[in-house]
Amino acid sequence: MTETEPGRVSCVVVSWNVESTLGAAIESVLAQTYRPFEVLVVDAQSTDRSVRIAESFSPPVRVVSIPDNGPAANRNAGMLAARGDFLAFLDGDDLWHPEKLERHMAHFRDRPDLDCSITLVQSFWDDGHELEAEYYRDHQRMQPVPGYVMGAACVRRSALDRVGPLDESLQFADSADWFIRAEAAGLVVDMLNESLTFHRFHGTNLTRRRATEDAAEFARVLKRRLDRLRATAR
Amino acid sequence: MAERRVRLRDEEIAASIVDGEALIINLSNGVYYSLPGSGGLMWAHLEWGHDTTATAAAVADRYGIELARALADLDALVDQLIEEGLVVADDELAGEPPPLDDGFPAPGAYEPPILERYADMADLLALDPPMPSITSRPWESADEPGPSA
Repeated sequence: MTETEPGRVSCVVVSWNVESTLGAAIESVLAQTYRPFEVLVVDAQSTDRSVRIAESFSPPVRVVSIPDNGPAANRNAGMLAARGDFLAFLDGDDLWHPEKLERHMAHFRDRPDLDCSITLVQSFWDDGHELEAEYYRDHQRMQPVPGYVMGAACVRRSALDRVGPLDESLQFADSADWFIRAEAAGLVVDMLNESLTFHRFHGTNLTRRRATEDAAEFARVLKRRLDRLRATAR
Repeated sequence: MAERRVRLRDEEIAASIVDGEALIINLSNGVYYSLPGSGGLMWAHLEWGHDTTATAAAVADRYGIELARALADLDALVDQLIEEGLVVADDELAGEPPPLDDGFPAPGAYEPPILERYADMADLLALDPPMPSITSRPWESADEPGPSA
């Protein structure tokens, strides 16, 4: 069993070849008005300077190196290593609003039944994409969207233990699968109606979700949900 | 009944067949659809590029039913798919694609296709609505209109 320390938030920063953005991501965690108990930068064999950048930070930042088995394995390693009784996740190319953790913890105080607190996610363009930013300024994708992803969530340790780890066989739909399993496990999930998580668009993550294998993964996850609902209805 | 062909609206729609069931996701609003049974087989053939006659023939053969019945049910399904914005009519598709090696499970008794619609995961699935690839750089074309919101 994991030993937890009440009221303490472990921040898990997912790192894989994110040298150009990781420093800013970690700084957005350290700039929180609610001080995190620990910041775990979980790195999956980056071949760039990501580890060196993470190691340049002082405690409470700590680097955890793991084999490269995909993003879900990275977050799962963070869950195992974390000692807080609340866990918040951040991708190494994204950013938090300075009051994100404070709002989450107030959310948990106001809602003692709450298992998982999420925020709206606001996307933004990486440097060098000024033309794209201007062109897509009014596009649907640039509006805040509900953050049903681990990268926007703060979760009670006990709730994570009830749902179990992320499915490491999934490369793209691991968060969607986790939230669907959370629903099945009866977790109470509620959203703060504010953009407190910022998702960076850059050259390598833009079209990922539309790839064929991505659609196939989401289809598998939805099929599992439908099969479960149909079995329950019988 | 005239032959019809349709094309997946793949700028907004993602689809995949799992255990013979078609799962179709509208990425722009997070609504998803299921086509189990005969509907899954119909979807697979339509997505492969077969026209309605070839698709109905495959369904009639698989389930041992009359072609006219399969055609009528398929035609109604195609209307529904177009109405839901999942496919568009496209009679310009060139050539007949090769036979589909679908690997579908053995069918039970034939039931007309039912398009099941689910909006209960909309928030979860609409996190990342589609956008044209940045590599296409549409703003470099003077005639290209701006994107719809």
